[in-house]
Amino acid sequence: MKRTIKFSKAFLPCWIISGLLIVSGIIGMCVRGINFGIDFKPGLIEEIRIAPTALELSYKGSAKVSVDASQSGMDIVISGTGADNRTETFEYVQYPTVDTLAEKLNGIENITAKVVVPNTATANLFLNSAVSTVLTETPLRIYAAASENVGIDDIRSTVASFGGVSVKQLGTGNNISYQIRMADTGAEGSSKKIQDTITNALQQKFGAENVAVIKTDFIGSQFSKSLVGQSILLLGATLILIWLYATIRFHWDFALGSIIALLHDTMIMLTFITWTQMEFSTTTLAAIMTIIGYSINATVVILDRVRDDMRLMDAHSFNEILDAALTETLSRSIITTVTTMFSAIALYMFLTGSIKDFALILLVGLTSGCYSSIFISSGLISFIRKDWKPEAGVHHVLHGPSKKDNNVLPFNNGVQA
Amino acid sequence: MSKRSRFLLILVVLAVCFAFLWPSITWYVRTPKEEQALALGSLEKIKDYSTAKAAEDVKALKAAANAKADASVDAKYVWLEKVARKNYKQMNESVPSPLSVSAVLASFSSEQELLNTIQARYRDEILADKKSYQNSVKLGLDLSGGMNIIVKADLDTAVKSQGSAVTSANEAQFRKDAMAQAIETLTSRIDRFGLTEPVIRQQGDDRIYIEIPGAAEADAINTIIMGKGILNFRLVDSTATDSFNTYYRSNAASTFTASGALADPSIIPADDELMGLYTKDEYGLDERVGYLVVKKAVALDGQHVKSAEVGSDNLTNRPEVDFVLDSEGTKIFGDFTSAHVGDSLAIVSDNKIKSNARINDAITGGRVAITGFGLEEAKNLQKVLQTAWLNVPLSVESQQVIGASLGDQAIRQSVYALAVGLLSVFIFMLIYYKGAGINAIVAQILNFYIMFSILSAFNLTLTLPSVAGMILTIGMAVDANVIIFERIKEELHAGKSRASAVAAGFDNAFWAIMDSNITTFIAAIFLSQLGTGSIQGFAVSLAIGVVSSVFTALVVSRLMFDFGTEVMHKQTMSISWRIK
Repeated sequence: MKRTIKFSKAFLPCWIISGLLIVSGIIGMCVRGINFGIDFKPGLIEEIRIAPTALELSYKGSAKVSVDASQSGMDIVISGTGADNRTETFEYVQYPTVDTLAEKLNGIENITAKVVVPNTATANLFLNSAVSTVLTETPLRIYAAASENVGIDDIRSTVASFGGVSVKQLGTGNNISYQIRMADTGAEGSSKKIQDTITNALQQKFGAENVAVIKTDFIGSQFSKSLVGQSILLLGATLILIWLYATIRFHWDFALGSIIALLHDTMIMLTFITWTQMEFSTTTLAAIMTIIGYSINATVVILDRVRDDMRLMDAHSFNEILDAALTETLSRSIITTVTTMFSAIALYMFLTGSIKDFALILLVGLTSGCYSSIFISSGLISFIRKDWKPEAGVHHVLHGPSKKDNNVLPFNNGVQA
Repeated sequence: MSKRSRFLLILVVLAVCFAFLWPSITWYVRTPKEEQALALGSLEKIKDYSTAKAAEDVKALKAAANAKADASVDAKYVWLEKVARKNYKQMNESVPSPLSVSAVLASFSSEQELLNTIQARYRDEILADKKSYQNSVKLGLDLSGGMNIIVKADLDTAVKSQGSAVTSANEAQFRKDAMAQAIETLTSRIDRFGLTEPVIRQQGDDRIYIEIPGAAEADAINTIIMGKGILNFRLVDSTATDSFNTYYRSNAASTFTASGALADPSIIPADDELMGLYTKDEYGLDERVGYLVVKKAVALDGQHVKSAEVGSDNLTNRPEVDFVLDSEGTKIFGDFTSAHVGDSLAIVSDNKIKSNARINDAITGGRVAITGFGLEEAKNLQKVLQTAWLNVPLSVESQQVIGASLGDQAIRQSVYALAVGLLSVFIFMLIYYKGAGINAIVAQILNFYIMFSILSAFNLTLTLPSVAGMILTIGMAVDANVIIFERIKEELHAGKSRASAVAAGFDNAFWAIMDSNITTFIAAIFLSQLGTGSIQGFAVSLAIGVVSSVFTALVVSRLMFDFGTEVMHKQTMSISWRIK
């Protein structure tokens, strides 16, 4: 039999450390505040790229011709009346410059491809996101890689005249793009108005053919308000439901212990978010909710074992039972956390934007969840049951002295073969 | 449950999952892009396309028959031979041999019948594709690019604008109607763009959610959402209408450009405009039944309409729509109808003709009655007229436009994350649990397969957060395997045989697995109720993953252990480095 680790000795120090951490988080929230993302702070976020138009495509025919550009090539999808249905694929490897590509495109009936900047490499061609990719007589602009002559300061100075605008640089080299954020004070009117003022200013400065919109995100002030209310309600309701379930399945103090562990994890994550000044968005909220669901998982597995051991063990104090149960479930606790961390690390490594932050919060939450399910919830139960005495007789008589080896199952669950 | 019935259960689950996945496989793997483009068009576009294509085909067939009567049927139309054979059989005539082009054509009683047959074939092919799209897993905006908009309808202002007409008794109903009307107006305006499967639905009491996958003109769409409905009355140019219809019949394929404008504007007079005449089909959707040429000049603006209701004719009791004009409108309408008795008047709403009525006599009293249709149609027309004075102010609450290139990048990144996440978990399980690790890996692969097919079955949308949810679920789902393996190890430590250790391990782990997964499920279900779509996607895949991981851990992995024990007669267990 494995040696039992005396986890109970660490209960008090852990509570103190966690308490200090959480207090520092609360202080941080008061001092620095939480950096609320667009979901919770109304406004407009626009991601733009300053890049020259390399190629212009137009079409005069009765079919529907659309452009499907990806990183490695371009598809021209032709469908509808007046032409044969087909998809023409152009790999950039085969057509390294826009000139060779345009020559080939001009070969398709009714399509006109006009090279604006000769000898541009096709590798980084991209389209404006706010424009339809169906070709018409109005030329569709296809942009080349981002211009490296424009820096973040140029963008800043262009939009500086509007109040409450911030600019952030995303990516580097020819993938560079700028995130422009503007608050919605409610007085501005529609999102379109805010967006138009910014876009117009940029187009005036850099030329209409050199500004491409990659992403726009607008949240109005009213929507934002309803989201905050909804989120708080949701978080509370989830905790209450989990608590109810735990109370039905376990004893009340077990349920309380598991809820305290969840609150602890939530506070630790919020502390992390506050101190790193990470953006708090609905994705962040989802990360917190995930950890709540995940951490309760770990706590329940341990409590389930504690309950088993209460029936099977011949213990003198409740801490003995807790220590045994925690030792028995320790490798499970660690392995499960590790495998989930593998997934979270993969997300953190490969994805960008809000999902990257999401993965980072998960990593913090996973660590905290593993720790709290061992020390925080058990610590509370140990405190509540410090005067616990083994109930004279009943269990002992039932199971005899060598408790762990008997074959009496605590539950008959009907999954026998 | 016996092993055989458990094995059958697994097979059934796998088969059902495959059936769910089939439409997605059909759509993403087996449908070429140009066919996807056709299938994603509106029903109106599909109808136009099939009609035009069929007309071309009939022409080609007739030309072939005229050139050489006994020529064999072109490979493209071989399917028509089968139809022709059936036609001959129905007419109780012997099938000519060999079946030449002219013989095939002769089997149809009229050219129209042939046209309809070919058209139906085109239509059915496209609609089959459309159906597999509708039943497949869809890519969310963050993976495919596109835009979504949440519009808030200001119902309070709409109620106020009605003054005393809305009382507390009928206010709830009025709000409902006003909302339905706002959605309908938006739908019909957005439909005009012929976009890829736009989604428009009500969210809560007063919000409308619009999602447009793929690239779209963000500016134009913003304008139509914010724009007011335009209703007016215009004179129909019947001579021009007739000549247009003649032209259209012979040039169906090349009449319009891709954007829906006339390819040759000179076929109608310069002061005229071509518009579609629409009625509601059985599904309540606008269906174009023909084209009319109307004067560009507006005879009467819709803002003069004060009220409209459905009544019935005193004499015939047939339904009619009565509407009342204000004093200025009465005068304009009186003058106009006096000058055009015998002509037709079109009611135009957002550039669609909703009704076309003949002016029987001069209407000078300001009260107008339109008759000549069924009750349903009368109600629809009343709703159209209602837009003239019932104005629901709309405002954009949130808007998101995501470039297709970003989506492309997101797909690549998530595939990497998925591969690395899965592989590292698998390798870890193999190293830590040795032989039993294989068991866990099989369970997780099945888990993934089941998750995808459930997403497909419920036509859920795959977004970046839901992919993240899936990757994470794999990490978490291993938990169930770990709990069981750890229990089995304990039992083996205690000296039990393989068979009894497996049985005891599964039994002891059962409630721990159930309790922990039920609580996670509770959190996931609540999360799925949170407003925004992306988080919902994450929560739904988490919830699905929880259910399927319980199944794979308790049923599939158990069966694998039992198979090893009973069929392969294994006595030992490869589950740890310490236990031999």
